[in-house]
Amino acid sequence: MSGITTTGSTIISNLEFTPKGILLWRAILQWLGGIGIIVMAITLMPIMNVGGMQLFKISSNDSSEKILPKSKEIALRLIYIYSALTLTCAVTYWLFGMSKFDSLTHSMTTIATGGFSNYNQSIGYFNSIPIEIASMIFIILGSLPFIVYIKFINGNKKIFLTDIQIKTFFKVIISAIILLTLYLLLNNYENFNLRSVFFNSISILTGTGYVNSEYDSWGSFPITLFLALMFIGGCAGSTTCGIKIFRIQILYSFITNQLKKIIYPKGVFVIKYDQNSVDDKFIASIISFIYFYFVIFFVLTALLSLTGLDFITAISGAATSISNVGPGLGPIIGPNGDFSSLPDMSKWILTVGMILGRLELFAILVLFLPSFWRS
Amino acid sequence: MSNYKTVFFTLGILQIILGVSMFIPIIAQFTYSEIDSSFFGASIVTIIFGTLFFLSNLDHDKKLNLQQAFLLTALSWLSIAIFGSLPFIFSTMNCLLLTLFLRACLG
Repeated sequence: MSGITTTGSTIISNLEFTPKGILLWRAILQWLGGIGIIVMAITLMPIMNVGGMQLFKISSNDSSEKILPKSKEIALRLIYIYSALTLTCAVTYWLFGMSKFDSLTHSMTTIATGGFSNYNQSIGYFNSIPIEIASMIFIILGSLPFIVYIKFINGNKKIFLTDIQIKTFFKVIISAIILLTLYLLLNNYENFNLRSVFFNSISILTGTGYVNSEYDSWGSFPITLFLALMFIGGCAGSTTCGIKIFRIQILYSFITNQLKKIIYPKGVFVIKYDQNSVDDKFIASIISFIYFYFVIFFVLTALLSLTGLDFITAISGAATSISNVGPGLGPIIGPNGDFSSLPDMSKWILTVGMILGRLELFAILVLFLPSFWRS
Repeated sequence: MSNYKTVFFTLGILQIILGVSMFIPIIAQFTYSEIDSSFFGASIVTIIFGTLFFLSNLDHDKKLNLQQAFLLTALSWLSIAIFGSLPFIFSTMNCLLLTLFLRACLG
């Protein structure tokens, strides 16, 4: 059961009758998994040169805003920030009318962008606008790069407005919402509901997996869009998963440069990220990460359909597990469904997908190289 | 194997933290009066394993090279997933055996 990867796919079908202790433990596991991945992403990943994460080591070392000298100190600060955010979230939920127990468990899974809920209908159970707004805000807070919070406390008050990753993150959210709204309005969707458009796009993009309506009845375009959003994920150094915003940014500037090279074959173009030029090494590792991500995704889909799942369940199950989202698409594992009816073999495959996605693929795959053990 | 001591030392610490955090659901179980042995048993098992890893690697050299950093990330996630699932396993299987076993061990 991979609550620890902050996925939030549940195999318990009747949550209302599950003992409180188990519900709380699921939330705690997600919470620990969330802080674990942040600490790891900020302290260990840059050293390990995994999928372009070294970019953050470079940018934090040679710029004037040195973060903190020792990784232990950073880790401690991260834990403080994380706990403070969770506490604020819990109090907010409680003020908006959740019971004490619900607000505690939901705040843990909100900040971890995990998405375990105590109810089958997820956040939709409460059917309360303030709670949904609060959880959107805290999901976004949980999916910002946590290094930003440390910089903020250290005195850089404008960091939230200047960080390039955060800007793109909001652009993605807003364009997803506009696209969905336009589609649903043009198709004259009778129960059009801006609230669920907002909520579900944010929840799926950040890999949380809270839902407040049956989004798979919206038509085929929203489903495709959600599948794409699942892959993007949140910012690097946060609790979210997926390809991550910064890799998309670099891929984007890489592609525009390639196009420019077609027009001006002799021109020299430098790829820039946050005003620093990016070395070819990083670009190679980022492009190979994204490429590999999709290879693994198709392998998982193929394996899942071999275990007897239909196409939409297999493809969305693979996407949801590798990007740690939670619910998939289709009638079986869709927004209000659960994974309990899947064959055991598929569950194991999904678990492997979750761990691969969580630890940035290469961190796991490198262990299977014979030369890794020979050094 | 001596060069992997830091890896297993850190794993031990993580497991002890995991085991201690299992006390929180125990408190919840007390307040909602649905106490059973699942979390207690899982907590004991996890803490015992954690302490063994911790104590047997006390003489580590506090350094991680690249290879060990990879090993540590993979193993820590795997071990937390395994030990974190113990409460679920204990609560679904027949708990009577475990309760008796605990009683026998703890006297």
